[in-house]
Amino acid sequence: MSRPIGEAGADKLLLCEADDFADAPADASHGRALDAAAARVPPMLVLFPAGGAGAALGPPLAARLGGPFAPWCDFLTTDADVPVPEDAGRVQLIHLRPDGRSRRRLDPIEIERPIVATLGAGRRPRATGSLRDLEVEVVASPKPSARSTATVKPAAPDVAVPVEQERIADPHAVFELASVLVLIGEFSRGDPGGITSLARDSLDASLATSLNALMAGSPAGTVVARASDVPAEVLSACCPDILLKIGPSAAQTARSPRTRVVLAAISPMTDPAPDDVDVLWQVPSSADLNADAIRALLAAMRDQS
Amino acid sequence: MARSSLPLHPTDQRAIALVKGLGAEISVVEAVGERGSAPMAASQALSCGASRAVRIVEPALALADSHTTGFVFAATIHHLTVDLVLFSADADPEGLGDTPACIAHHMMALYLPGALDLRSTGSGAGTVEITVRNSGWIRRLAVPMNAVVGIAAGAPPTDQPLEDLPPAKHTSVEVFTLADFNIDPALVRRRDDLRGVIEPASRPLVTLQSAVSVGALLRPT
Repeated sequence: MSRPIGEAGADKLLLCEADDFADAPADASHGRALDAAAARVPPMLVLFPAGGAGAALGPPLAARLGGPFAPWCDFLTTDADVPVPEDAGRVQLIHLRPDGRSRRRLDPIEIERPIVATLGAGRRPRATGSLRDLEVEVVASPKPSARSTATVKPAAPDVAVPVEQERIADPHAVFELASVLVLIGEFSRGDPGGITSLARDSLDASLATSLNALMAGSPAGTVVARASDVPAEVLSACCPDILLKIGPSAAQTARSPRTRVVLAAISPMTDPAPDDVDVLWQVPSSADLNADAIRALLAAMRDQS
Repeated sequence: MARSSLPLHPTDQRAIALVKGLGAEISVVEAVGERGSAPMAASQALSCGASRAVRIVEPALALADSHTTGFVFAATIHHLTVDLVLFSADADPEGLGDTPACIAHHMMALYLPGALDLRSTGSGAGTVEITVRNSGWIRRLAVPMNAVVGIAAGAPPTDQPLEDLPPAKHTSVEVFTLADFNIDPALVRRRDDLRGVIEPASRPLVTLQSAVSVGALLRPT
């Protein structure tokens, strides 16, 4: 674990070990490790990556730290030479409100409390650090009955831990970590002239049989699926960098300010693009919207990544 | 739990249906920051089978942060003496879903989001069986009753019949104020909004014709 963290540029890794940390993250088991880390290095920002841990651990940690929780955030940063005002921070968090047209901006300096946030599934940038520069510090893990620390308000000392009776691997686990999510929309046989008139014969048949081939040349973290095959609760827990919709569908993921929703559609469109779309990719005819075209798009996204 | 002046969220309906499947009584709590607004969510919850609907009216709640709101909800829930608290994170109009964790914190209860299903254990041991999706696993857990459980957003409708309900003890929404729970309204009013500054988000629609140009636009910077 330390290698990717060091290569990503981290200066310090706080390591907290316990047998029950092997289970899926839950506040009842993992929350005490976060409390210990927050007591060791009082944070201004606590960031959780995509993958489900943030939803389980973030809100209760924010409740204990007395700060706000903000899901699916992006950063506003400045590296300008001019100093920032004393009451503003160089790093601020933003997250989209549900309407998609407004956002909230959280400044740690202004709020004066630790901000707990989750991030979307981004594409991995180039390494800026190395393992040699990473300092690893082992933090003692308090026992469940002694979760309170010096700087964190006491958590529930006697919270009963749920007992796992059965577990199966989630067949949709890859979606939470998808930075590029390609969703094949619904193809309406009854609307041949409208936006739903994607090349059903060419696209549907070729794409359905070559999803793996399509992903082969795509950027890392790309997941391709039919929109109708993915449960809504799975999509709601996804926050990709890019959501590429091939044809319209009602499928919606979570969005961060960084998320770009791309709709591939046949030109001309009879209806305006849905409100959540950022980029409209209009192809001249249904024959042009095929697996090769999508593969070319994914390859073009990958060129400099 | 529900927010006022809004219709009952589909995931809240799902939560009610799941509890009805357990054969348990359902109390719905909503907080209202404006006097005179229509209690849509609570009354709709009664129509869906909730046996009791409670409405907390306090203008300061309209601007309260999640910690204060959670404290008020926890006091109300303590008054109602419930076994299990359910919430739907996607029902939050701000899309934050942070208040339930504050409730769990004040109740000293377990916090468990991502529930797909609830079933009775049948043992009467003060636990309920909950299936959750979390971090690559679908897990079936025996969860103690003192828990705040989040129903997964967009979860499919329950297959439990919506009939066979016990008759509602209360047919109207019960209205409470903070004074009913011995909470000083000044405690709510003096808290700051920790949710940040609202500003417009510029998202212009870009229309492109070629895959290369779309790909170039979407390359990581």
